[in-house]
Amino acid sequence: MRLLKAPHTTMTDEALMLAISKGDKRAFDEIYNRYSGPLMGYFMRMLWRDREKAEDFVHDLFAKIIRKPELFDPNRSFKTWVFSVANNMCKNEYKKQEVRKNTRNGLDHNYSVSDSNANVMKDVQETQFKEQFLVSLEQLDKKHSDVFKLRHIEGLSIKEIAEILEISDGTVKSRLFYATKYLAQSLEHFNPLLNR
Amino acid sequence: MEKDIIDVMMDKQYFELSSSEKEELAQYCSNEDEYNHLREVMIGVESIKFDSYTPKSETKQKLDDLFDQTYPKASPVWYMSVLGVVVPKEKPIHRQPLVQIAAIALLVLLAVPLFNTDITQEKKNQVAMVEKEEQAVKQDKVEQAVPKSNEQTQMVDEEQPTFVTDAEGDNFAANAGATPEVMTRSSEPVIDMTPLSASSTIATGAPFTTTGFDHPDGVFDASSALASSEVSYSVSAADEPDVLDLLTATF
Repeated sequence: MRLLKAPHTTMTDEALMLAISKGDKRAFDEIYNRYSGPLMGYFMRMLWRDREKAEDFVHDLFAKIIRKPELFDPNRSFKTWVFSVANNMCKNEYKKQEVRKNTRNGLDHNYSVSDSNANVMKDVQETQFKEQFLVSLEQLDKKHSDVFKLRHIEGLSIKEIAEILEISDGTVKSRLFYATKYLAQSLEHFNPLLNR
Repeated sequence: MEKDIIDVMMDKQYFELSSSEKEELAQYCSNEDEYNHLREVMIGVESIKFDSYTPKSETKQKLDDLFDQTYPKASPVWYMSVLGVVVPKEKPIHRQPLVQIAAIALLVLLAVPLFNTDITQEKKNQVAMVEKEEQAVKQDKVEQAVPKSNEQTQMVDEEQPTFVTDAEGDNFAANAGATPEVMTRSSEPVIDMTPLSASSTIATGAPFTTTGFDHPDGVFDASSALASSEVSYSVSAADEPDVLDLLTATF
């Protein structure tokens, strides 16, 4: 028996999941602190910035972790596993809603272009660039936009994206470059940050 | 995160790419212009500050309740609450109250013998030692003084002077049969070397006493001494320890 237990902040995600399965409340608190923010942001971007829906999805995902921690394979990366679960939840939601991304001038009625953190974007041109980017991203095909979001917004690697979406690395690259080319074309006339 | 081809594109300009990297990018970028265009879009997107979101506290509260329902805790024992206070798991070991109390108790136990000394008894012992030493010194002095006085008297007994007068010198042969112990000169005083008795008193400052002398200073007068045929010398130190104290120098 170890006399000195390692603090939960230094434990890996996989070790924390193992502790959660044994009823360790602090392990769950640590996992929640690490992934509640990124998952909330992911759901916000994937679910048309619907905050209420994003909150519900976060709750449901962590409730699944509490009830069935054995669903997680310890040999696998927890990060890719939790995002794959989140992606599947979004897919199911899309099927339920049967909402297309192109509704009102390319925007969904729930989609808000205005930046809630206006204080952060001091430069008007940067704000307009961001808005244009988000609009263009929503206009993309779901499979391409998801890959682009996971890579450039969530910060996941190509390998991790492939594991989450259960596709090959090559497919991830091709979808990623396709999305980038599309965005480059839509942002060609407005790209203050690109110094054209 | 492991660097992939996207990271390479954002880090390097076209002329910095290796041949293998160019070969890999060839299927996505046909020429340098296209490469640079895609690179700029990626850099621009990376520079955008996306909003960060955090769930509400109510969400966490619901999850905590669900966790407690799913993993019910065992009924707490009374000492577990005490242990929870003195040994909190969230604190490092050196900051736990129980460890700190134990460390303080250990320091006190180690420091008690240092301060628990009977000072008065120590001083008494020191005083007793000093007194013993003084007594030993005195005893040594007394012992040394007694043998010396005995030696002096013995020396005096052995070296009694003999004085032979001219008158008697002629009759020396006649007197040859007399005991040779005492042959005195008529012109010389008779010196009695026998020690004075212990009961004889000696005035301070006047170690010599003479019997039959009337001189106030007690100066030796040969004529008187001849008459009295008795001259007293100083008293033995063993008989008069006070005299010894006066004689011995003290510093």
